Amino acid sequence: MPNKRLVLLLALMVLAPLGVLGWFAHHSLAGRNAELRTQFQALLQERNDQAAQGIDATVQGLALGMNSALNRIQNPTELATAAQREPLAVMAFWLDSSAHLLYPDSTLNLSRTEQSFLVRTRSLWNGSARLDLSGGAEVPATQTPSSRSPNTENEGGLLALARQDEQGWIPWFWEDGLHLVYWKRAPSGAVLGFEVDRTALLAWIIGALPEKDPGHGCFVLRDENGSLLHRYGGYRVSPDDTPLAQQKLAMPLQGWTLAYYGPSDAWETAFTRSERSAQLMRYSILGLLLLGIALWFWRESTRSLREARERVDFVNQVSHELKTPLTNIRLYAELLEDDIEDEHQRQKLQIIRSESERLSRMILNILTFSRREKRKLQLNRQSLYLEESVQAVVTHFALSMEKRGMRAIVMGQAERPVSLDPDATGQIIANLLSNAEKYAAAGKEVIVELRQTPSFTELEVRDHGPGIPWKLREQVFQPFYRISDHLTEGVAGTGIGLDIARTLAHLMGGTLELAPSDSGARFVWRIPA
Amino acid sequence: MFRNTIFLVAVAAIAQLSAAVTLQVNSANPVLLEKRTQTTLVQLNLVGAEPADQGKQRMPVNLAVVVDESGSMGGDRIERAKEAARTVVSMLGPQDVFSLVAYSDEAITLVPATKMTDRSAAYAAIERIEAAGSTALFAGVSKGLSEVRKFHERNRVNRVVLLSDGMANVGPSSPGELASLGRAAGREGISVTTIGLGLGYNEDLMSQLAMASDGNHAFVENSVDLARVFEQELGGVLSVVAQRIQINIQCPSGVRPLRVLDQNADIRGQNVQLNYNQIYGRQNKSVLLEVEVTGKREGEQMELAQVQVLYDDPASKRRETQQGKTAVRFTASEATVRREVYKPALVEAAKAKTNIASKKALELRDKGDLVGAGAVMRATVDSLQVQAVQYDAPELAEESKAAEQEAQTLSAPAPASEMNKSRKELKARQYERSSKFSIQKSK
Repeated sequence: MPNKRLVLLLALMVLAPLGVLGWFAHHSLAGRNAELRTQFQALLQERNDQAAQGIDATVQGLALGMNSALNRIQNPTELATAAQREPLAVMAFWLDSSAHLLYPDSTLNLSRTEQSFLVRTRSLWNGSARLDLSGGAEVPATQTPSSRSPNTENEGGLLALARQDEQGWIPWFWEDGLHLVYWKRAPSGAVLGFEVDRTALLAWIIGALPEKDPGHGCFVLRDENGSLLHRYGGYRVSPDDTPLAQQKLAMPLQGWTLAYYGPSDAWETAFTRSERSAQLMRYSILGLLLLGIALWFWRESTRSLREARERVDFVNQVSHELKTPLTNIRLYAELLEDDIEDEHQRQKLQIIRSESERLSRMILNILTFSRREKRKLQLNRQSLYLEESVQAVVTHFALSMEKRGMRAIVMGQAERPVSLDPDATGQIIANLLSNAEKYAAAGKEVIVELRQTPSFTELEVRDHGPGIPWKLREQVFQPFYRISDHLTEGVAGTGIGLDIARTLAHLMGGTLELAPSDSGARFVWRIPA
Repeated sequence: MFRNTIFLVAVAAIAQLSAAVTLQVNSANPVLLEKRTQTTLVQLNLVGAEPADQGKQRMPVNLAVVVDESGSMGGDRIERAKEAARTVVSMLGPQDVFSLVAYSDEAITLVPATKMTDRSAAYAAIERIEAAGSTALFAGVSKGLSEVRKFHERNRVNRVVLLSDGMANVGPSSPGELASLGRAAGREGISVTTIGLGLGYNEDLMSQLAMASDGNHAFVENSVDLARVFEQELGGVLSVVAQRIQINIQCPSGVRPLRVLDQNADIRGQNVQLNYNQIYGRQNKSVLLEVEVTGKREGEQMELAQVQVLYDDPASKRRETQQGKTAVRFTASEATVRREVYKPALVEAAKAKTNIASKKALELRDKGDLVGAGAVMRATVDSLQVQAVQYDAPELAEESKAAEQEAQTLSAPAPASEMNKSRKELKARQYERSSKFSIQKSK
């Protein structure tokens, strides 16, 4: 029968640490989640950054190409051809150091293309219009026209810019939208440039962008109006998706934004899944370890219990086996007694009978003990005259006691019958007498006294032996306990006699105690009325 | 000295014969009225030479095919498109470069620019085309251009062929934006041919993209015809005899260039400049410059125009020049003027003017003014009939009949679907008339 306390203890041993750890882990995971989310956010932002930088690099490369093309131009007449050959250039221009536009030269005949170019770029040459340089992260504050003295005659904003830089971009608004110019300063102080077609620029950028996103997300490029220019990556953006990372692009694409979209739990999918599984693994390893230890404990503790039970079972079994032959011995000895006349023979037979009775008692004790362990003890209460019971037991002991030079004296009376189990009663008295016989033979006398009052009946067994130390008065009743001193050594005994006697006494509603005594042991069995 | 002259003439003739492009310059009216200010035409005719033997001396090709794989292409259309792509690949040789871009929600490069030494990978990639999604046309063309750029050489024919059946709806989608892209491609020397499939695409977008880059444009109503059209396009590409053509026309004082009929040109005072990406083998490209002439006195002569044509010649791998000029003389007799008229120029002019009228009429029809559209076309019809009689030119009568048919189409009220279809047909036909090259007519 599994020990409930043990099971509880072991369960606690396993669950408590797991519980505590789990609670901690959950807490730390929540914190870690927040940390990871920030980390992931930063990663996405960085990835978006890199993509934006990639676009920037493409544009810078194109600017470099245009720069070289402009470098090769020696005089304004070459510009028309140069613009035709430059894929990104819609038109070209040459502004000399005194702010005269040498190409397109309005004093000459101009094609329609050239004419419309002059019209839409008016604000660049006048210098009176504000140049839109806002939004470009790399353009330092000193670039804004307002910080310069404006309205110097014939001074284009472009020339003023050219004093500070070698080359650059200028976006400006005209009618249908944003237009773009790339310019560079020539050694002569003139400014050459191309009007750049933003659509063509976008096409070049698209050509340089990748098609897949290793993060299974999607990059979306939008213009200053929020219209979609391009997307790549594969993830299908749904209308209510918000970007996981976003930023504005630098000059000359300022106003354009690059946003990164992905599944909203992308960060979780990426990070915490592995985190969580790692956690779970650690957790379960610990759990298994603890469980293993608990099981080992269990096995160990139940082993001794098991072994003990096995031993008890064995003894029980043996005792049962012994009972039958013993009964036969007693029976035949009794029968034989009727047949024998000779006194000597009868005496020998008596010894056989009393010894086999002793054996019987021992077996009964053991069986009682084991039955008690198994909770199978049952008592048949009857109306008993104690005097008779005592006398019966004393008679049984008479011969063996005589052999040791002892005798039992019965005193007192118990006229009123008591409700007791006769076998148990006999067992109690027999155990007490047996002890006295074993240990108090030197005292020569064992007195069994009966006392009876209206409220209780008492049976006392006292001897004149060495007695039992007062401090051991409880311990002697422990099963298997035998006082270890020279007295017990060499004396056969199981050590369960008193334990049985007390158990039986308790079971019948009474008590069995060691009473104080000057000399010898004094056991008192008190039976309430 | 006489021998020298003959020698030089012979050399010139031989040079002309073996030239990739032959230039002829004519005046529509070799004789003009004296003293009066009148309008006449200078006609240039650029004739492409016979294309070289296949696989031997022809220019290697650098081709990107950009295929629409949006949802609407599902079923028969995408299968036919794949078939057309396979046809194209089968016509390429180991010295040619091929790339394949497919676009729906996004543009994906299925075959990055590769030499066709082994075509199996290309065929395998064509099989991966699947129809689903929207139409990122701009991205598709951009990617196609980017692939062509990888092997971009002056000695190759660099081309993008775009197939689309629907409205662009991802990224820049207006005709103006795609025209900008086309112009940029043209500046790079990459022509974009646009093939519109079915009745759902934007013909303005497709034709403007092609026009800006000097590609071809076709309207394919039924996907069954796709393979054939692709084949014709590639046939044209394989037949290219000259690239990066620049035409410079210089008029002396007294001759004022007004406009070039039905073509894009830069007119700066006395100078006219036109640019074309390529001349196809056997192509007759006619350029008509309308000029205003202040008449001299009878008997006097005047040069009308000096023409210089520059082009890249794949055979010599050099930039070659052709020159030509034309002059007029003056008379007092109107009859002489009429008699001496150069009919081929008139016929070409008639075609060009019909096309201009057709475009104008279509604009009016778009606004709902069917009457006005009809009127514009019929004015041309009448004028052609008059000219046919005036110059005794039955060819003009033929032109007049064709113009009459078109007048009917343009002025007849019809349900929206009919109008849509006829608009696409008209746009495609107008385009071919301007570009002087067809990939739809079976040869």
